[in-house]
Order: sequence, then structure tokens, then C-alpha cells
Amino acid sequence: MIRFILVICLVLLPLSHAAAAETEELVEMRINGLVCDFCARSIFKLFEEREDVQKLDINLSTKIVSVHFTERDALSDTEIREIVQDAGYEVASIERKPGAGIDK
Amino acid sequence: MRSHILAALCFTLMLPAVVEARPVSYAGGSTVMQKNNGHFYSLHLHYSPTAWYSTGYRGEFWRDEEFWLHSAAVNNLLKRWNNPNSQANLYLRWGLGVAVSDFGHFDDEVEPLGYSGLAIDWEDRRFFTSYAFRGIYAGEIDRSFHQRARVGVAPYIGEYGDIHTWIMLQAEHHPGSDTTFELTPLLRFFRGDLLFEAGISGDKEVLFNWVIRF
Repeated sequence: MIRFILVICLVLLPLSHAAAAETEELVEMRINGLVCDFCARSIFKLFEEREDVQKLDINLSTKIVSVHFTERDALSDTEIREIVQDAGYEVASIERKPGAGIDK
Repeated sequence: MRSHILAALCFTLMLPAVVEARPVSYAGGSTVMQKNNGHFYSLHLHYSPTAWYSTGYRGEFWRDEEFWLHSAAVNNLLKRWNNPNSQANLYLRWGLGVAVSDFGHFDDEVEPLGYSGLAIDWEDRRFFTSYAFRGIYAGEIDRSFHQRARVGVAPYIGEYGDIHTWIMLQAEHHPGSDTTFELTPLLRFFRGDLLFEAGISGDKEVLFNWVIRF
């Protein structure tokens, strides 16, 4: 019986993980004016305070801010642009990658 | 007294002032900035309700003239040019308050204070340049004009989270001062929310500035 439960768990675990990944979304934003750590920290802090943000990556070379959301379409493009404007910068482009998991 | 206050207001509206653009942060951000150089020590405590302006306290002690300036200060980001690989800013800085001095014939004298100025800067990840000027009106205690320019180069390009380093040269012009023109080579380091600058002027005066944002 214990073996049976273990087998069931082993089968269901990856499935539940996949289901969670299905609901996640990676949003990559290219930001104009992103030239320094101070600029990046401003954007980082305004996204970091949101509960639906799992992880943030900033690449100053490519000017791309990558935000991993726990839910798909947690923020509209307009809302994302407003947050970046609150930090003092401008969004040049937004690319969405639904289901993109986080590199653990 | 009333005429002094009016003069301070007029001066503030007409004259531009020095820059440190740094007090303007992201919406809801706060900044503490402290500066020390051959002329003055200063402390700035600022809050930014939006990314377009900050307001707070600015205190300065001018060493040679031995007077204090206490002011409610405002920094307005008039224009930011967010380009794909660079950024430029135009700031208006102004403040109102009081000047206090007991130097020489001044005996704990208090005068109304007004100052104003403009600052402009441009930077990409390799180069930096800025120019700022400020006019100060403090009745009989001080009426002065100051301007400053900087150029800088980053010896290496750091990524987010790295310690960023800048080699800079600052030129200051203080008409009427003992040291009218001053050149100061300095190093700037920053990482995350912390910025630190240190240098020594041609007159062997130490420059030491730091900024924290939270």
C-alpha cells in the first residue's frame, strides 16, 4: 500500500509542477534609459513589492528587465508601462512568455 | 524683514541653482545624501512622491564664512530623455529657509534664505557629463553664485549588482570666494542603493560624498 502511494505521488508531483508552470508567465521588458544600478534598483523595487512577482532579473547590457509572475496576465501592458514610468523610465518593448519556468 | 522675504522669493524664481539630481528617486522612494568639500558640509533628507520631484530638508554649513543654511528643498525633474543606450536629465532645484551666522560682526543673525538653480546631466554606461549652477540669497549673510561641471569615464562596464566605478573630474567656480576656481579629481563607486565619492582638490581639500536610497 505504501509503495502504491509513493508511486502515485511520484506520478502526480511532476504533473502538479507542470500545472503550476502553465499558469506562470515570464515578461521581458526592454527599458529605455536603463544605464546604471540606481536606475535598475528603482524598477526592481517597484516590481519587487508585488506579491505576484516570483523573481526579477535585470540585464544592463541588453536593457532587459525579466519579471517572473505567478500568474499569466497578472499585469496588462499598460500597467507595466505605468510601473516603469513611476520609476522614471520608459518601456521600449514587452515580450510575454507564458509558462516559462524559473531556473531553480 | 518682509522685503527680505520678497527678495528671497524673487531670487528663487529668477535664479537657477546647483545640482545634485540624486534626491529625485522613484515614486515612494527616500534619499539621504551627505556632502563634504572644501566649502561646505551638507545633509539632504528627501522623499519622492513621484519620479518627477522630491522634497525634504537641506542643511548646509559653509566652513570659511561660518554660516548655516536650513531649507525646505524641492528638486523638480523638468525633463528626462530616456534613450535606448543613454539617459539625460534637466532638473530645477530650489529651496526656502533661513540662514544663521555668528561669524565676524554677525551675532547669531538670522536672515531669510532662498536659492535656486538648474542642473543637466547625460550619461551612458561608459561616459558621464554634468553641469549645474545655483544662486543663493541670504540677506546680509550671503549672496553668491556657484557653478560646477563634471566629466567621468567608467574604467569597466559593470552589470546589475556589481560595484560600479567612475573616474571623474570636477570643476567648480565660486565667484567671490577665496578659491574661485577649483579642480577635483575623484572616484565614484556605487552598488545598488549606495553611492560613495571621494577626491582631493588642487588645494588639497577633501571631497567626500555619499548617498543612500531606500
